[in-house]
Amino acid sequence: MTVDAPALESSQAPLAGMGRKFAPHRVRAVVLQHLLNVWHSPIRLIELFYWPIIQLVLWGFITSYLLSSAVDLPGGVLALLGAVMLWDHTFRMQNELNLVSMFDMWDRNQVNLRASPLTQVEYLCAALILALARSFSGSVVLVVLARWWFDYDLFTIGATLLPALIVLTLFATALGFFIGGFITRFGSNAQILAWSLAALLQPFAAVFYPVSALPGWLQVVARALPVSHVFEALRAVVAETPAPAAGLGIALAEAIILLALAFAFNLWAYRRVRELGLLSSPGY
Amino acid sequence: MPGTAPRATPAIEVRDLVKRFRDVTAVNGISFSVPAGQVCALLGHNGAGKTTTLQILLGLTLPTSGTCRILGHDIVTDRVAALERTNFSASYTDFPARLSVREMLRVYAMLYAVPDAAAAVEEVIELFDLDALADRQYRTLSSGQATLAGLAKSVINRPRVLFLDEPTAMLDPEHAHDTRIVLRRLATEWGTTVLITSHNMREVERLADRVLFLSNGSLIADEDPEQLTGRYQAADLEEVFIRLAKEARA
Repeated sequence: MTVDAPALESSQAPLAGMGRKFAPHRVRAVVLQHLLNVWHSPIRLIELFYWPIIQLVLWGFITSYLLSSAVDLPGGVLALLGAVMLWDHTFRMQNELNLVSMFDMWDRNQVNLRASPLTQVEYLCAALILALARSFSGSVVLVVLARWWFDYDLFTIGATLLPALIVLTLFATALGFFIGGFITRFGSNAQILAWSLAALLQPFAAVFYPVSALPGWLQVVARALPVSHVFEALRAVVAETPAPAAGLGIALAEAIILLALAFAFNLWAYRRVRELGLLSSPGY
Repeated sequence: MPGTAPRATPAIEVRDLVKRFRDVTAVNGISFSVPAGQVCALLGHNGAGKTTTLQILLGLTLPTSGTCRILGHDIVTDRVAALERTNFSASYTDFPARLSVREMLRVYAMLYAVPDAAAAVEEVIELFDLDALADRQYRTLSSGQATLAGLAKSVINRPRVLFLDEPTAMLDPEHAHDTRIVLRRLATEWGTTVLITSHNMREVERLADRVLFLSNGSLIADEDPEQLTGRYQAADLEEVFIRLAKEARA
């Protein structure tokens, strides 16, 4: 240790952005930390593409088989492949949002971050940027491979694809913030939700079959989920019937309401865990 | 006010601080202030309320009542401003396992908006003699080396207030000695205020200007180490500690 080093500089230069409640440099710092973590971890890079490709291969062959068997599915057989890709984007986005805080928990880095000027809103923004980057890069690979292996072009969905992606991304963000709130509040006990909650919702989301295939009371649940309206619209497009614009509008409104509720829940959970003094307890 | 000399804002100011966890009162109405540049030790037996007090001062835990101000900023209502010129190190935290020490310091320099971050990173690497370790991933460091990396992080923003929870607990005697010298220099040359918890009473005697002794959440002593030892007519601070801890349990 340099105990005999020359005198330390006593002047303290002002820090950039002093006192700002939201500072982009703090968001960038969290993003940089996680990008470096991924860069040094080949498993994390492989994982980015591994599960989406497994899903694509499985459903690609199922689709090919159904097409060759001349099976007539409502919404068209090819709708299955589009649904796989869009649901994968939704799940990946939510899962990645939660992995950001879980990696900080596993690395016991939470306390260092939380004892800095970083705010919860900045932390969520950083997680959102990382989740968007990872889910969209995975989706790009899927689109290319689906075209190459199964001659399926996701863009044949046309203009409906954009509002569909917006709703699915908003829904995934809401789900991620909601699960993130549970993980913040209950620690490692709640981490399983990052993998299981989206799977639990999938049967009600009408990803692979129309809402009408569900029993009556489950149809009510399905219609409360914005994603069911999106997949109904996509099936309509593939079946060359007009996409229900009202359904997409309802989906967008539901997604925005869910996002606002999940964001408020996440902030409440962070405040609650500070009231309980649990932040420095490893895994709680 | 005419005729009244302006009073310097204390670096740390705690007033009537209370923290209850259900039926347990961890901190029971403590008040103290620490002026700029002072090295102050927060002592007490296990469960006395030291870590809870530190965590409230760092904004990690919210108080039940009372106020904490860092450099004049309330830690609850003005948390960002309070923590920008503050930093901390504790043995119970780690850093991302796969980042090198240099990368980790770069991330924290960015988080604290350090001007000329590259120079600041090299400065703290030199200060804690981390040159040989700077490009090694954090997960490959020994506990002592990881402690030094954590200490380097804790000064990356040249904090005006530094909180240290058992900073030398994992260090060998040589590194612990050198760390104490660096901490003293931070106080004298940077004017950093240091609030430190430690169970090493010899370390406290060598390092601290002042001792705050907590017992069962209450502040029962507040004076310099020599005065405290003299008041209890004890041979050293360790004897005082043992006596006060036994009294607390009685």
